[in-house]
Amino acid sequence: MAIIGDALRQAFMQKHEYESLREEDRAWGKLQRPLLMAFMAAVCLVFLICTIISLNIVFPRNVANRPFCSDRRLQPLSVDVNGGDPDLFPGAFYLTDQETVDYYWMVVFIPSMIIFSVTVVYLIAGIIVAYSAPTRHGCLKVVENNYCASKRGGVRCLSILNAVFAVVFGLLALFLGSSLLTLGSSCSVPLFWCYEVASWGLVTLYGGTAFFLRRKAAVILDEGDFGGRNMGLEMLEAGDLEVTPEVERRVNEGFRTWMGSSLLSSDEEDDPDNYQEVPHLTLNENANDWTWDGMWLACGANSNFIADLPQNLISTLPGRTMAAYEYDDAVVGYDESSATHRQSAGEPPAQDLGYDPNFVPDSVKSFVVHLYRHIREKNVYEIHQMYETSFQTLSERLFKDTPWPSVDAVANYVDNDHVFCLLYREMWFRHLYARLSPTLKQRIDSWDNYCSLFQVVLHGVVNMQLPNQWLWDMVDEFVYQFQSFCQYRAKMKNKTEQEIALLRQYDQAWNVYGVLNYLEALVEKSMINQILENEKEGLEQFTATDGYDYNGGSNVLKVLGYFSMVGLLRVHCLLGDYHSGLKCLLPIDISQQGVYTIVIGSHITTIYHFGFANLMLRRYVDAIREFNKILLYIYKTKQYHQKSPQYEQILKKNEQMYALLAICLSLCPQVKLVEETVNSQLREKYGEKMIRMQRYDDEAFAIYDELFSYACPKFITPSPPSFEEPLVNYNQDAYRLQLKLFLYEVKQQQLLSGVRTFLKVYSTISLGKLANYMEVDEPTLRTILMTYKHKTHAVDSDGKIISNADVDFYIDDDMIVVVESKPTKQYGDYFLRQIAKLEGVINDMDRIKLE
Amino acid sequence: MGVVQKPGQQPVAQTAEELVAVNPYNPDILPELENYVNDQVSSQKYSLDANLCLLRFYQFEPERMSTQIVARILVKALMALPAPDFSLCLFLIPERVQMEEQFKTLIVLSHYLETGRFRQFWDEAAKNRHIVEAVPGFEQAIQAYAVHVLSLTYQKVPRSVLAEAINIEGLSLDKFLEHQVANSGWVLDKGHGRGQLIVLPRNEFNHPELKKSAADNIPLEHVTRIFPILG
Repeated sequence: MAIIGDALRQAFMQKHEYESLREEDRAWGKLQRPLLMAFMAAVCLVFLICTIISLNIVFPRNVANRPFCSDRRLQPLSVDVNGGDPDLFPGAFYLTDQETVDYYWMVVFIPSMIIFSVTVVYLIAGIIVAYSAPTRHGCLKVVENNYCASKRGGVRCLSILNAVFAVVFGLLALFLGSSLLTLGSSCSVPLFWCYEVASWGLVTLYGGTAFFLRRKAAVILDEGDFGGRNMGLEMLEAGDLEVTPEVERRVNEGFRTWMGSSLLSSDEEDDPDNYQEVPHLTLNENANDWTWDGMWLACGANSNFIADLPQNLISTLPGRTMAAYEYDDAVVGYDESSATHRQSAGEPPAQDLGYDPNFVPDSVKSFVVHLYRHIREKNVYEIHQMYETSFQTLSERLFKDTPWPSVDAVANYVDNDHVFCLLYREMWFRHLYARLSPTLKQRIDSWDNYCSLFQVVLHGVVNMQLPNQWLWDMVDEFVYQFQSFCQYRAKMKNKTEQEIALLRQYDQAWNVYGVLNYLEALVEKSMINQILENEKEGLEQFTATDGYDYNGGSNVLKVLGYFSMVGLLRVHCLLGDYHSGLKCLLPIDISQQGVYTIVIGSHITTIYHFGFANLMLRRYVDAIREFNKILLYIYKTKQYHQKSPQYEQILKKNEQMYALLAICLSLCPQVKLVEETVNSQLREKYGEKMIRMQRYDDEAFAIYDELFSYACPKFITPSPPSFEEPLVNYNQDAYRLQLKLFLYEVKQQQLLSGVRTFLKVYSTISLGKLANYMEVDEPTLRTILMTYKHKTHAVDSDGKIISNADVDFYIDDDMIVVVESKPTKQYGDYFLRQIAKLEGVINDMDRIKLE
Repeated sequence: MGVVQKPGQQPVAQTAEELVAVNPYNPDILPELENYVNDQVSSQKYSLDANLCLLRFYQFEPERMSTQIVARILVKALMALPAPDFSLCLFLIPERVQMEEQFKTLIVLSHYLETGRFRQFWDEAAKNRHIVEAVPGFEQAIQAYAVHVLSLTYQKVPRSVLAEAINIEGLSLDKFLEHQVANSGWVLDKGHGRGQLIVLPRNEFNHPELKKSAADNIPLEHVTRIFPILG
């Protein structure tokens, strides 16, 4: 009874105190269900008693003495009233008890009972469903072939039925009950009361059931069997997305629009022309018409293997067939346990059920249907929401460690749309790569999918608008999967015979030429260089519209081409070809905002690789400047990305870039290029290491080694292994080479920090004296000084010599004259800012005067 | 599909560079690029992009690699100093290839040049004449690099230091100096008894006062921000 005490206490609490209670502490919530059940039982009992009494009156043991009819006090009164005012009831006549009872039995009781016996099924089902919510109960089946159920979901339908019956019984109670009173027999009053009480009891039961079904169960359960046709509440409720009325309204509208075209006339499409006219080409067809102005694309050769795929899959690949059997087993396992699964619909499918690629949860149906619709309608905002939030939430909830349903299983829900299926598969593989480890076959299939997708885009047949985030992710993932494949392939030691056979067979998959040519083709075909040039002259808009096309065109090719330049930079960095990488990025002016800065992932990737390439090219100042900018940017904005799926990645790249910045600053101490916040972060992270890096002993090399290894890209060896030679792992080769060459460079600059220290404290010093201090002979000192000059004067991309030196000098005969480059203050910028500020103040003052 | 036109009357060089510009990822142009390397050697031209492109193909298909061509590319890259072309090439050459004797020599030579040790460089080069003399203009290119480093460092350089750096002595050095005085604005300064001093042409690196102070420049875009206020 403590709970009742709690409930009472909480009933008299302050409102805010009550709200601060945790959900499970609220006693009322716990009390609610037993109280409701008790109330319902009481109503049922009353109903039962009334029915029994009325039956007793109708069929008494002694006809002369019907129970409750012997009250003489009422009888004369009613007779008097009726008799005393006969004009009111001109045709009235008075019935005997027997006639009254017969009337009651034939006209009132039997019809009411028939209605009740028909509807009681829905009442009981409704009560049980409401009681067992949020778990789904089998009783919902009673409405499954109803029209309203198929449209609105079973629970809602049940609730509506119960509400209707409540109204019916209410009307019966009003009209039939009042007709009893007019009979004026001694039995009419007790029969009236019995009937009224019983009927209103039923109204209460039906009404209450309807109410609770509507309030509780429908929300949770209605993405059940008819989820594909409902409002997608599952998807919207998930995660941190709030269902505001606004969202609900939009979804409802969307649902209606979609319902209009698809459910009611599913075989007709209203607007087929505003979407992509996709030729349903099979890949081998593509191979033939793939001509690219003398451009070599891997798909030419590649498509042969793609064309061969189906036969190979069936005939030569035992691995695949075995996998298919496993899937079949999984299906059986699922069917067996589907009954229990049904009980708990709305819960994620239990992991131990095994993964059935053909089982499509309702939320996924809803997801693909809506995503498909938004893509068709070019609703970039909604696509972005679904792509960024819903996809992640669903992955988190339903597909934590299984893949999404196969594309074949969802294709039905999206009219088997070719391009949508390619996009879906692209996401499918991305999810697979992120959460599971892909098999070789899956890697090859993913390559295949990217080929098809890019070919469709390159043929210029898509007419959709996709969010920049998605397009960036495509390019990013494409390069990542290439990198991942190279790493995977290079680990030859523990490959099975089967894997090696596959690798030999599909030697075009993730071929480096293919990857580079696809990216290059996207850049070329999109004419992005031309677009960016035109933009500079004001002939065209690209950056201003964030790459989107507001004139009904598609942004896909353009933006893919744009991001492909970043993709090329990254691939070249992975290969160790820094010069070519930077050349690929040239069309993008990274000193300014651009489309690449809109997507945080692309912004970071661009600057990271730009900085790294410049570090390797010894253009330290460029690297420091850009690292400083992006690190400051991340520092200021990272809080906004906390919920982003890329947050981890952002933080990791942030740390790596601090490490690279530490390397740059150790080789080229230009601290004044670094913002104070970034500098303090850097000191915090690497301050002590940077001091030790200045020493140029073995320990210093170890730190350079450590920081470089931590922060460098995952270098790849692009060439396939030679299958004839003994199988060895060569995945570390590329990294080791780059590290070795980098440390070589560090070694060449070994003595420079010593010189720098001395130069800083002298304005002039003779060669002999300095040689003496540094404990070297004079010719050696001359070489050291020349090295200093050479290493601090980099050649920029135009072939011009740029000084990176913080301390400079020149030699006049044998005198060293030191020139410390003074920190030049940017007065201009300062004045500009102050002018703007002053103007603001004056404006404010003017406004005050006016008031 | 990457049909490569056979070079007709046109010099190979032109075509090869164009090919790289049109599609740098087409392995069919590999033979043209190899020819172009030889062409660069014989007619004293240089194209880093074409050479990097070729090295990339070698990286993708190691079985097609020709070490002789790689060696030539590396020598040409050394000649491109002070640009970092040599290390750019090394980044693309697998380590086991770099272990070969001729490449080891080239790496050592590059190391001497990078660290300003010209005497050791010339000694080492003399021992490996077969590598460096295969490429015409090698000596001149290195001398130009040496002069570049010297003029970054010195206002006035002693004759002996110059002689060591460019590996020219005696009468030929006099001739060389004469040429430079006539063409590049060098001035011969009689030293104070110890030896001749050569005044190197002034540039912003050995005469820091020549350096234009970039800090005072404000880009026009920045100024445009306050136009509305000024107007």
